[in-house]
Amino acid sequence: MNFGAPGVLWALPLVAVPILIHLLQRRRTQLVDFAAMRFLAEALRRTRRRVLLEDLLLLLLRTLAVLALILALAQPSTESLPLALGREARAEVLVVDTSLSMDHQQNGSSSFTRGQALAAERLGALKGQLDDRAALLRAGLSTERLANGDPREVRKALGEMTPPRGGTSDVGAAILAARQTALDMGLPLDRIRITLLTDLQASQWPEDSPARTALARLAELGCAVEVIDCGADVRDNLAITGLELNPPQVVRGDTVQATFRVRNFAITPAEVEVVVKLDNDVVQSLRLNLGPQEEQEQSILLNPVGLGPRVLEVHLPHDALIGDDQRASVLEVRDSLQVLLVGDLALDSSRPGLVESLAAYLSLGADAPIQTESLPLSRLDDSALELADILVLADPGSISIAQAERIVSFVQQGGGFLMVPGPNTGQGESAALLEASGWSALTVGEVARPGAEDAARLNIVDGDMPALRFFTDARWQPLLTEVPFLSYRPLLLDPALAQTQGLRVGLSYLTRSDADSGTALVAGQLGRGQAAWLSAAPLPGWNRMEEVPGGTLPLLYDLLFQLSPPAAHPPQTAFGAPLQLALPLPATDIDLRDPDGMRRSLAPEALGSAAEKVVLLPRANRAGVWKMDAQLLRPDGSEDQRRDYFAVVNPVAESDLRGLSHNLFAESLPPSISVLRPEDAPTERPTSPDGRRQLTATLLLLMMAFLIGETLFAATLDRRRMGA
Amino acid sequence: MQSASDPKLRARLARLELRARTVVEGLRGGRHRSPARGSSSTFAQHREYVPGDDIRHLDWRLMARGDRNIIREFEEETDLQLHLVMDTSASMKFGEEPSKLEYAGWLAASLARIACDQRDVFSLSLTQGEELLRSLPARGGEGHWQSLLHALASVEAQGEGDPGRGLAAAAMALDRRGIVVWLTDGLGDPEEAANAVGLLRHRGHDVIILRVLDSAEIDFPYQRNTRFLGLEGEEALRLDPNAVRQAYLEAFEHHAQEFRRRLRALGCAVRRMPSNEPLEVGLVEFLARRSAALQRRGS
Repeated sequence: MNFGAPGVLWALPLVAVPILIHLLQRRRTQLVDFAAMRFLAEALRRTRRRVLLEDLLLLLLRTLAVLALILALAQPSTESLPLALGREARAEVLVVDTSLSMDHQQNGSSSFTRGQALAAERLGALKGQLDDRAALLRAGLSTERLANGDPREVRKALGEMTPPRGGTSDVGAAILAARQTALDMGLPLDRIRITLLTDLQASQWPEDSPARTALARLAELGCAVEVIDCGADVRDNLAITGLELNPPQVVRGDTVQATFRVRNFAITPAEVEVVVKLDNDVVQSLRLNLGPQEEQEQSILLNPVGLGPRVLEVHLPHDALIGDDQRASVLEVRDSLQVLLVGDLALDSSRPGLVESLAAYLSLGADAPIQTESLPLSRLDDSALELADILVLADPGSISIAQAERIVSFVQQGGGFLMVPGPNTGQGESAALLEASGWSALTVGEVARPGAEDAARLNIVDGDMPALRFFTDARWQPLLTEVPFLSYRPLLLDPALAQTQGLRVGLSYLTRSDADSGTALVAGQLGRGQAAWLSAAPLPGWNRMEEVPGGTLPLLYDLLFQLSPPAAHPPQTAFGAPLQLALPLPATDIDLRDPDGMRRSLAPEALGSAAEKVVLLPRANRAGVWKMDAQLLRPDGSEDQRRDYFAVVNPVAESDLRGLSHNLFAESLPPSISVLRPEDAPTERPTSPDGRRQLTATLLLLMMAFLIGETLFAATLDRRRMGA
Repeated sequence: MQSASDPKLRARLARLELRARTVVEGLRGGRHRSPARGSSSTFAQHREYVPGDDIRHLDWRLMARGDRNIIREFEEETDLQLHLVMDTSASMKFGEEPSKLEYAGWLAASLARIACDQRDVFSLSLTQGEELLRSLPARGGEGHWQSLLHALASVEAQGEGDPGRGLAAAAMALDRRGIVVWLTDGLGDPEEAANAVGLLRHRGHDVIILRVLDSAEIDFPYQRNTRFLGLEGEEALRLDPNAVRQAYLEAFEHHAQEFRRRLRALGCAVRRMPSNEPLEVGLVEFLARRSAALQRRGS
């Protein structure tokens, strides 16, 4: 209820005055001795019920008159007497923020439940019989209109809303959807109230953000607009703000570095125990002391043995916001890289060519992470490529167009490709391959022979290239850059085209005069796979790499790993991003379970095709670890099983619960928008002064009617009683 | 009964006598000569005693000489006996200046005075509740009137019960036919009153009922919330007089009509005597009745 002068309501006890007067009058009786008691007793018996009713009616009229006077003086809003006055229909549009931060708990209730309760109050004040209307919008990654129309249906939908499961919300889009909903209601806009129930997280409302712009547009509509801050008073939080794996996929026996970050969002220090699990087995537990607002980064090294997708999780003890107390990542552990070395052996066995030289370097033993198989160029076909992860083409003499297209197709589907031009590599063959790849920026130059006196050396152009990181260390760099090249075939690059085609230069040749003498290593993405051209491969007579094997082996080894096929999906999927992966074969059945273990329906296109990327779900709408079991159909008709995991992570911004200052926020908004706490938010709609005056006048008329009624009734009674 | 030396009693006696004499003198001034012949009581004859005769009239001397019970029979001293039966129940206490009891006493004294002046004999029976409290025998003379005044002045209103039954008790003690004047508020059961009056009528009495009521009982003038206390032990009632006035008056009048209807059906006169009205009204009624009775006797 809404009053213009609520202080007058303190006079409400005065409604008891007529009752008190009545009781006092009853107490003030005279004593009389009387003889004709039998007639009095009979009269009393006959009139008792009627007199009681008459007295009660009089008392009621007097009490109502006093009540009407007090209410009139308190200037109530028309909302207080909706049915009696037959008010016009009105509407509530409720927008509930369901981002992760709304799940923050305080005193047993979350920001979401506080908003839900306020929304229920507002819906409860509506009356279906007055044609009131309501709408409920869920503000998440996308806006969902849960119900629209009958307030009872909307209230039911509100009760069925589930607490936030993670992710952020696009409040701006939700506000615009609320605006459109209000316009579609067909009511005068001044009878519609739009309420945004949110926690006013500062990170969600930066200056000039779409949400603020949308609010401003909403204000232009003429509706009543209220932003209710349902957030907690104390917004402390501890969260895992990051988890990265380097590298994101390894072969058995390799070491992976897991780096995670923990942040204390409180203004007081915190001590927290962090647990790291691999496939639910605790691999490390450590205690961190975090200062106010401090973020700490920790790294651990893992040597996973088991093959396949492995789930690495970092956990914190649950606090007021539990959605960010764990974070996961999926690590792909492969058995080994299958390298197919294709090239023709040298005709003169005393002078081995690039194929022999590379084979010598890449034959590392049965347990090595790289397993190499050699094949003549003439035998290169689809079946040869089927089992290969990386194709190394060493100094090809001639390449047919079909072979070139086969190689490019192999790379585009995720395979790795390393082209090593040498003395026998024809420019025409190279051009055909490069053309099929779309790398027109690159050509293979003629053989350069600077000789021993002016031998060229390698220069690291991009130390961030994975294959070259080892050599960014000053101790190991000379192992690569001090090797003399007496002869070489420089790669020639058009810088402008190279940039547009995404080509990345790793190494170049430098001569004694430090003049740039061509490119030695170029890499780039080709479809799902990666390709690289390396002209600086070990070749006796051309360079002296064999004399410094400590540099050559890491270069080749890391380069092959750089080119290795990507994982079927990223280690982490952002909340709300499509849940997708690459399946090598068509799937006949896929069982997808969310972190709660519930089976989820798939996107229709998920089955039946081995697409480049299979979309399982358009949006990952639960944070945590998802599990997939797929039945794949081999070309020969047999089936293959595949299990995979997906780690869906919440946006870090949702962990920072700090709220906006109401005053500053309100000042930045149009004045018609109210920013309130739930306890200050009125359930009833504010009433216009005219409406207030009308109701006050109505109450005064009522009071007069009660008084006149009381006077007439009392006079009638007096006349009847006294007249007798 | 109060002592004769009680100053309060003496004052009440003086007031009673003054009031009665004044009333009777005023009444006489406007009337014809009294129809009463006025003769002294004279011995007439003896006769044999029969059951029911007053044993006080047995002639002991003759009885001593013979073996018969001889009773002396006297000639009537007057033509008429006046029997005053006055209800002195607690309800008669009601009323102020005067109370119903006082007013009834004035009436009784005045009637007795008239009888005394006309050489009639008069008796007084005082009933309380349903019992006969005291009675003065039927005699005449100034001394007897003074005795009557004393009896009236000394009685207090008390006792509970239906006045009709009290009248019946008094009726049993009345041996000679005459005019019975019943001074009562008549607030009891009309049927009981009718029974008692029927008994009197059966014995040949002419009955006049002077129903003494206070104006507050008739008009019920109370306004403020009042707690009514019953004079005869009834349960107290707290009520708004305005609310019940009409119902009370209806009940009161209904009772009065029933009372009057029943008693008039027995051939007696019923006169309501509000205590704020002049006493003469009741006395005129009495005199008219007396005249009629003498005429019947003369014929």
